[in-house]
Amino acid sequence: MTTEKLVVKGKMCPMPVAFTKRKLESMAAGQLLEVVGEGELEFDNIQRWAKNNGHDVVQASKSGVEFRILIRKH
Amino acid sequence: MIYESKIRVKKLKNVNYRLTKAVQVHGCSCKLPQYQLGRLLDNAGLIGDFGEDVLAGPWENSSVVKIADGVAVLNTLDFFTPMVDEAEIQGRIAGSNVTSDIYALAVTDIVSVLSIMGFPEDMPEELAVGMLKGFGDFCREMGAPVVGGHTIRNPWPIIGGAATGISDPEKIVYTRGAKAGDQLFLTKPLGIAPAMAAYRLRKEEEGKELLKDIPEELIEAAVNEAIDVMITSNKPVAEAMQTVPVHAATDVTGFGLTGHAGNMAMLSKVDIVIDQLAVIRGAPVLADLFGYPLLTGEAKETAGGMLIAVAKEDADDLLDELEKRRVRHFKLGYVIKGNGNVQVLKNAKIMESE
Repeated sequence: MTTEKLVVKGKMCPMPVAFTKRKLESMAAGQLLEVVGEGELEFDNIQRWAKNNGHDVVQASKSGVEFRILIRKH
Repeated sequence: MIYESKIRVKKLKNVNYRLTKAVQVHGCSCKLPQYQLGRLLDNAGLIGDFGEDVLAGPWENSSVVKIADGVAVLNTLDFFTPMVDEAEIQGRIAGSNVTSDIYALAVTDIVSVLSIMGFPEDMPEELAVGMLKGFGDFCREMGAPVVGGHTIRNPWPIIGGAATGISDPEKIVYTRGAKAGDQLFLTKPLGIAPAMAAYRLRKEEEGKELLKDIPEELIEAAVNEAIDVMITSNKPVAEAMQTVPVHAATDVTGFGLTGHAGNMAMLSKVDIVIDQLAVIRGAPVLADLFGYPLLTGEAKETAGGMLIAVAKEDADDLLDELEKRRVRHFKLGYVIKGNGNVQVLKNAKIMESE
């Protein structure tokens, strides 16, 4: 199963979470999505939304302002 | 006294600067999370024993200090980033939010307000004037004169102020007095965050694409109601609370409904059960689209309504007083014995505005 990728850099709130949600809705259960974005706020928002909606946050890392979050669809 | 909220202002000509685009977080969403604020205050040594004359400290909407027999002074400070691009409306929202922190304690006598504003160098001065005008007009209409303030250069536009109220300490209603058996009411519908996110997104190409399946009429209705909700004063709620023995009250803003209800539950040493949620029409579908936790009561609000705990036998009197002043009110839930927990029932009834 391939890992899907979504870049949400430079998008105003709430687009990063909304696009993450929409992308996951188009994927199969168990599939992985890597979300690449920037900013502390969206880093927290995306992880919180994913966990609250039953998805697994497999990995979350930051390098400078950029972040990568790996989510397994529930 | 009756307060109408149908304020509309003219758009400034030749000003393309968008206040909401100049910031990453909007309105009360820029507020620090409760847990982080608590940690900061704790580490800074600002939570402690203030002495018997300090009747309320950082945990309340306003501080309350008794300065003489029968006289207490209330102070509050509140400012935030723009929710809207229309400067005067933004100023009004800030005025509504600041004064609400005094009204939340059932105090209507605000003796003075100081404004706080910051704005970046590239922001047109007309917008700064507009924000101050809206703020000043709103406070003046509430009988709360703006007598001074402070203005700085700042990378993000901010607007708000500090308000000082005065009251007989015996007449103040705190967040901490809820009792098992009380009924809970809320005076404004929830859903400011999703409605105002739609307001911002429909000005962006990508945002329009995201919103394409939501009827324009529904978005328009949600945005208009949200703005009206924010610029509607909580002063008549405070007046109503002065006539009925209310046990506890707080306004609902940046910590969201469950955050503020949790504060009430914790300070009152009770549990709160929420079995109905009143929401702005269109807000649930927008919240779902954006991933906002509206229907679990966790979405952040800005200049929201008053959450009131009142004994069952006094509830009808409170509702009568609210209705006399044309204040919207919604049954929210009830208070039971407990230790500071809030529960939003899974089958909670969702009531969308008509």
